[in-house]
Amino acid sequence: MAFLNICDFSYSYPGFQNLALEKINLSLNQGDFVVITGKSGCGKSTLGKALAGFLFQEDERNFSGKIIIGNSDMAEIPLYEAYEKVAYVQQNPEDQFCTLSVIDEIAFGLENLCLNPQIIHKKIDQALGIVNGSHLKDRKLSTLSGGEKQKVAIASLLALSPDVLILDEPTSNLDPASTRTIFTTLHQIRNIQGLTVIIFEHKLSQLLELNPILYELKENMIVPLKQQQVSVLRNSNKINHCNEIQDEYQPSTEILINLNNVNITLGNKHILKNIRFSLHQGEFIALMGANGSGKSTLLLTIMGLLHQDSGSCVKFAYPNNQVSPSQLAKDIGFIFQNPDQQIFTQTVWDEITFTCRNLGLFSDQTQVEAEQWLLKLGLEDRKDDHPQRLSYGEKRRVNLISAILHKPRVLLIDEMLVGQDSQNAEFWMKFMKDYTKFGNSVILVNHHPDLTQAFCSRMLFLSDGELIIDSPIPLAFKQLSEMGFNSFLPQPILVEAHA
Amino acid sequence: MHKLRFLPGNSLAHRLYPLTKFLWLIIISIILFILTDSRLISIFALVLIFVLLLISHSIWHIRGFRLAFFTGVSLFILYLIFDKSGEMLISCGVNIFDVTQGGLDMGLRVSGRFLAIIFISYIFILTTDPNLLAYSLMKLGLPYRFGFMIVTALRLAPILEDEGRAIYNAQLVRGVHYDKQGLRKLILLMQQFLSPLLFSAIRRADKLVFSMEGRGFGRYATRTFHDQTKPSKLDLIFTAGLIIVITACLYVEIGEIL
Repeated sequence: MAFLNICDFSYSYPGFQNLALEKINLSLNQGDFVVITGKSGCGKSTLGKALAGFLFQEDERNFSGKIIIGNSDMAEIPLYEAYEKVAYVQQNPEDQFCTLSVIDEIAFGLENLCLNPQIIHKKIDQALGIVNGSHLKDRKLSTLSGGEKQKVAIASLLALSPDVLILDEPTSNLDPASTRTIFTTLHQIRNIQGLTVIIFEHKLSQLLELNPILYELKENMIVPLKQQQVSVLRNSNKINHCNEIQDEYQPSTEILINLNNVNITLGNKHILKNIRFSLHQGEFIALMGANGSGKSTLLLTIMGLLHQDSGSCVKFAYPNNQVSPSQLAKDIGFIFQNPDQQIFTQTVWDEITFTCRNLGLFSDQTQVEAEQWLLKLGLEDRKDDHPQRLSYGEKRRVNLISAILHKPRVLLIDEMLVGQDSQNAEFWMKFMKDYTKFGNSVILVNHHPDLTQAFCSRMLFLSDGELIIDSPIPLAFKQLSEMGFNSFLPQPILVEAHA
Repeated sequence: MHKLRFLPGNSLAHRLYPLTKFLWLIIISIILFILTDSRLISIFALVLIFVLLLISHSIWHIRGFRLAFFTGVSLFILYLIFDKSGEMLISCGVNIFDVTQGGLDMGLRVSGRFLAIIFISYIFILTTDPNLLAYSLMKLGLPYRFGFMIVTALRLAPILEDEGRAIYNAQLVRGVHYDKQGLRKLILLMQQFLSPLLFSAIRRADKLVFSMEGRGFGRYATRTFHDQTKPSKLDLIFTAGLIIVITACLYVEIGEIL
């Protein structure tokens, strides 16, 4: 008999009529290394939470079917006993940390079980050793990088010796190098510990190398993805692979934004070092680099939300440092990484027209355009809903309409593609590419070399606060290859052949 | 300007057990109210500011310190100006500038108490890791559910501060002029600011609950602690020293009363 069984499992969130999951069936054996993929919003996170027992804490019984792990029905055991069976690593490790230091965080679960301090220390060392994080033991959580935080989050759960480790998009906020490290670590854990690993993930290209058992969650069914259905188009000469548009790349002569020797220091850390580049009209720039290399800081500096220590940042015809962010709002649309932090109003309609009304640009024409946007992006029925009730993907669409309705000349976008499936991500890239065709410019922070290669015209690559590459796309990838940044090179393009 | 928060270091005050410091913070604050001798109170205040300066040379740049310091100094001046009781010490011919023994005593007593309590509180905050304090309280017997309220609050406070800043920035980039609105509009803007912050806080709390319970939090009535740090000899010596000082102060105080 299989070790993990999901039998006809259906679930609806409290207050919602629609089923988030409907009659799901799946059987896994102990020690399986499983990847479950699927489109954004298809219910992957819901299934992960159900497996971890998180969904069975409501008084109301809003589920049917069974989830059996080992001999335990996950709906029948209290959450504080579920750790013996399942460990669930949340998408953002920050969300699951409840202490301030690495050692306290890993000890937390063990202390709850009233273990002897000596045993606790032994298990902390073991858990950190498994994730190759022994050097992190004495660090504060706030000083860790994204990849290190993810390792600590995994170690804090491994210390409890669960049978199954579930990870919900564990690398969504990580750069390609950290992503590779985490996936390799997870594969090692499975090999060494023999525990079942289930990863819910969009980034399949790096995972394929580890030969996982692949499933797709679609239309309320989990179906295995066979090799015939996953065709990996390997390009022997990836660096030269570029589309027609980039070959013809010719930047406009009109400069919209010009940075010259910009330096930024935050606290004692020199974040940006002598940054110098110009944004031309009609450009679609990919701003790339490892986590913590200064990408977000650079966008905030351009927008005037951070002030440079030295150098100049001239935007349009405004003199250096003479324009406030709210004055720039007319010319620059800014989309932050977290959609929730940029939703303020009570209805979707108020939200998308918020900027126009603030800038005194709201007219009959913009009203018509706003309605057209809602129709185009499938939000016409959600016009009067509270925006916080929307799904993640829907909030992202609202963020975008809010930023472009007044037609700013420049869009600055910080990691718009996090948590988006490949189809959605491609849709957004095409959308931004089209936006530049009208003489507007876009700077997009992203961790997707493939999409960058296919859609962007130029790349800015930051390393430890220095702009080490500022080149058209084909040349940029060649330079990255020469410098040894192999994780940032386009991977084989995965084509999911849907039946 | 720096925030008033724990500064990691290796000073004597840093090395003391958090509960020792917490206990002495309370005891010294009470003693300062028991003492009436303005000279003793002033000595306390001077010693404490000396210790504070040893711990942080940039104390002047810590947020709130200047306000507290000048409030203390102002109290002293106000008593000198308005309390004309007792023997005349300095006569300038202008009543308001005359200094009397009663005014000087009361000024030193009130402003000395105020400043001494401010200084010792600053010393405590700058040298005590609040996380360690929470763990120490739990080890002492504080129910761990309450203890972890402190720990998780310490964990979430900087995150929510960052989120508040991000929300404020997100409003600025969408053309909100906080400085160019009427009061009514400002209230609406505050509403628009607090709403996403509240949503975010609730969402985080929700995830944190699952994370904690998913690791066995609440399974047993008690828990163990990996950190076995206990009060050291240093705490013992420090405590003995303070007992001698306080006994001497009380002896002088009571001797004067008798």
